[in-house]
Amino acid sequence: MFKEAEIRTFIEGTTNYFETSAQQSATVGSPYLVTDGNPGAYEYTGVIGVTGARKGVVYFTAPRGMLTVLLMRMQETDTSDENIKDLVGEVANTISGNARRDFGKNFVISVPVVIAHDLEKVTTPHSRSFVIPINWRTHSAKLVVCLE
Amino acid sequence: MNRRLASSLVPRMTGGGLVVLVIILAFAFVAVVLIPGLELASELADTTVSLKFVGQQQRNPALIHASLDSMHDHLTTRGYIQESIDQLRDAATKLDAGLHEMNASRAASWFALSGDTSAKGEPISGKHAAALRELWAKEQESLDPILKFKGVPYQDNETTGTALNESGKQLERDLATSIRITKRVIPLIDGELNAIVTDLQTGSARSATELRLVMLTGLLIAIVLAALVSILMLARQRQDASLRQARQQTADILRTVKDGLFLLDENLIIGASYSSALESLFQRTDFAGLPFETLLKDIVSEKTLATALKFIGVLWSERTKENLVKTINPLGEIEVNFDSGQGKIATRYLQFDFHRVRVDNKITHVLVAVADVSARVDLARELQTSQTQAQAQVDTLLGILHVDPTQLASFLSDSNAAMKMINAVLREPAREESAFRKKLDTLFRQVHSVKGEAAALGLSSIESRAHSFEDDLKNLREKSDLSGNDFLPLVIKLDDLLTHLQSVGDLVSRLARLHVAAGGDSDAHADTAVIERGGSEIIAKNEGSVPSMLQQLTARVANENNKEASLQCLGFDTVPDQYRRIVKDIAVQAVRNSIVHGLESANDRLGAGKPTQGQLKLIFQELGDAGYKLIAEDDGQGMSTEKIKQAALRKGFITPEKAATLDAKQVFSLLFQPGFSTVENATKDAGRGVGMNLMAGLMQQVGGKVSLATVPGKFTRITLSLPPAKRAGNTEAA
Repeated sequence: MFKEAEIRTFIEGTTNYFETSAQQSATVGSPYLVTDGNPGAYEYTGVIGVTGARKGVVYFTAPRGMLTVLLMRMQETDTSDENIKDLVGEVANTISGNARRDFGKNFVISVPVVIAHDLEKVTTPHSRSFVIPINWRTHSAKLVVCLE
Repeated sequence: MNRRLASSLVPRMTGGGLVVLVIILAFAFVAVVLIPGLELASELADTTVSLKFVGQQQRNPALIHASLDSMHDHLTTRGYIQESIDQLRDAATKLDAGLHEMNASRAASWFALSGDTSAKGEPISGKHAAALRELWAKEQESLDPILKFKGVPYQDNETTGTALNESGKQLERDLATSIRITKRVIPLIDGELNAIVTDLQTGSARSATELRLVMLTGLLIAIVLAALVSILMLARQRQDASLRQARQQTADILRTVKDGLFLLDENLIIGASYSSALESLFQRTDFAGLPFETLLKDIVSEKTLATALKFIGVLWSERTKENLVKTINPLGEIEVNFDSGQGKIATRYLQFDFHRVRVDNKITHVLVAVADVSARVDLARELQTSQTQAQAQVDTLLGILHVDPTQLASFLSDSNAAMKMINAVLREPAREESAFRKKLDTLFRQVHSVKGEAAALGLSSIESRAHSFEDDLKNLREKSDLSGNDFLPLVIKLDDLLTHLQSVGDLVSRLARLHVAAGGDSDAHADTAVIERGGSEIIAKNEGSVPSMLQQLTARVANENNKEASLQCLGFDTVPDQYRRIVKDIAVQAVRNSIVHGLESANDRLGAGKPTQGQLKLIFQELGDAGYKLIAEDDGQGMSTEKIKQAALRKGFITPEKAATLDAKQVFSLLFQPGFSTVENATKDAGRGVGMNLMAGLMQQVGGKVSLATVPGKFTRITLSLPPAKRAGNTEAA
């Protein structure tokens, strides 16, 4: 199924990041639907816009704790807000790179935008989104795919 | 006046023409006024000098005359004559020099234009020169001996005293001759000199008149010149103003026009003038001098770019026809995506149009017009989507038309609840395999009940989707190592199911509105199903009037099956809320079963000695602590175990061997198996073999019991026992 392949690509992009940057793989929780247009977000969110064959957004959102640990795993001692934002942007960038590789010109993907601390600003264009919990160590993050 | 003149002249005469006219006039001014004016002025000055000179000369003849007289007197009185001779000589020399001067040719003037004498270099004496020369020669000749006289003309004698000597006598004679000649010649010279003065004065007066005339002409030309220059300036100003206005208008057009307009030169470089819309269309500002290739590079594929460049190359070729070329425009509709920087991408559809620009029939530029046709493209796509949707809706509609609206509404509401439950189960956090596996059982129960209900109602589109979901679940059950990834297909199918249920819900709402809008018997329909808007939130109202709904159902099903039937409902007002839906669903199923399977046709009933109209009874009873009872009875043909067995054999539910061993109770229990039906061809009311199964399923749900009593040819009675309301808790289907 086309949709399934797309979502798998986004998931792979996310888990690959953990695999390669922290040498510690992330697991995927059971995915679910959000139908009220509010899939929610953690403190740090990296958003990419998608258009072309499908239109909408994909975002990776994670709590500060998880990202701080991830930074430390990457031998990074600077765990400032700026650095965490860069990290979450990098995850989003990896997701978009993965999608570009798999879908080529069918997808036009925007430059990642990082939204931090302002959960209200994380919005989806359609009411229904797929939410995929990403578990790493004891932490949980979310990958939200909202494509029409 | 000037303005009118200017406006009348300007259209006829170009600015260049006027300038030429002004230049010609300026030359004319110089030639006709300045040069002659200068000439005349210098001539006047010359004449004045000449007059003064001639005036000076006029004294000399009188002096000569006077000297001669004086010499004669002195000679007579034997006085001293040398002084007179000196005087004479002086006057004669001066006159000679003067006449010589007057007779000499003067230097020619710079411009030999005017017809006067001095201009031609004539002597002052002019025509009088010859006469003067001749007269003066005569005079000179007479004076010559006198002037040559030297010594003393007297000799002293004692006797005679002082007397003239020889030379004195000669002098006296010469003097007499000279005086005689002088008396005749000098007045003539005077006359000639006067004539010269008169001539000079006449010339001077003429020159003055000419000068006046020339000045007047000059004034006239100057006025015309000034007028022309002002006209020219006015015209120029006007031209400047209209040029400014034209430039402003062009700027206004370029600023306001919605299309992106620019010119391409033969190197495909964008010109310096372009419309402002271009900036918003392409989200950049550096158009002037930008190669067209660079503009397109980031927004179209390489292939399109190459084709586009080739296409414009063809446009530049004179041999190709513009209209023909335009039909192969590769940039007729280009999708352009701009990253808005907010994690969002704006998509626009741009249409490029190319027009040749010709100057003197030669292509000098290509005008490119870029229009944003997003609205049109979106509309076309929307139309296509809605057409596809409409087709899908027709299919869905055909799939639900046979289902009773009330049942459909309740089914949708139940299914949506089940979907929510499924999603809630999926959403529960899970990391361990056991947690994932635990989800499966609940998911199974939920989707199975939806599938069952959909099957019962004949909603194949929903049933098949639920079935596919079940298949996936079955596979997961058999899988050894479960993870979140494995659940992805389920979520996608859940999404699909939800979407489908929603579209069915939407359709049902629309149908319900149609029923209401149909008016007339709307009351009856309102009882059947007043469905509120919002697919997933469908609520069947007026459940209290279930009997009337059942009456209608009876009439409709009987009519469709060519049978006559009447229904009697009792005790439905005592149905507790908890059982309202179950009782309704079972009652609907019972009515259908009774009419389709139980009642005979009117003729058969007459033959059996029964009234043509079959009697159906639905009785709900409250039994206190023992709970409730729903009895469904018809006075139809009853059921024969033999007929059921045959049907079961035919459908492969039992083997012939097994058939032989079954007792009556076991045979009847076959009726409650899923998929079992005694009729050969399914209709919308029965035959899918799910009705009795649903009944049994519903009873199982609430922990009730089903019993069946029948006498062939007489009646069939199904009795459903329901536990007391408070004890009924579990509503999940097994």
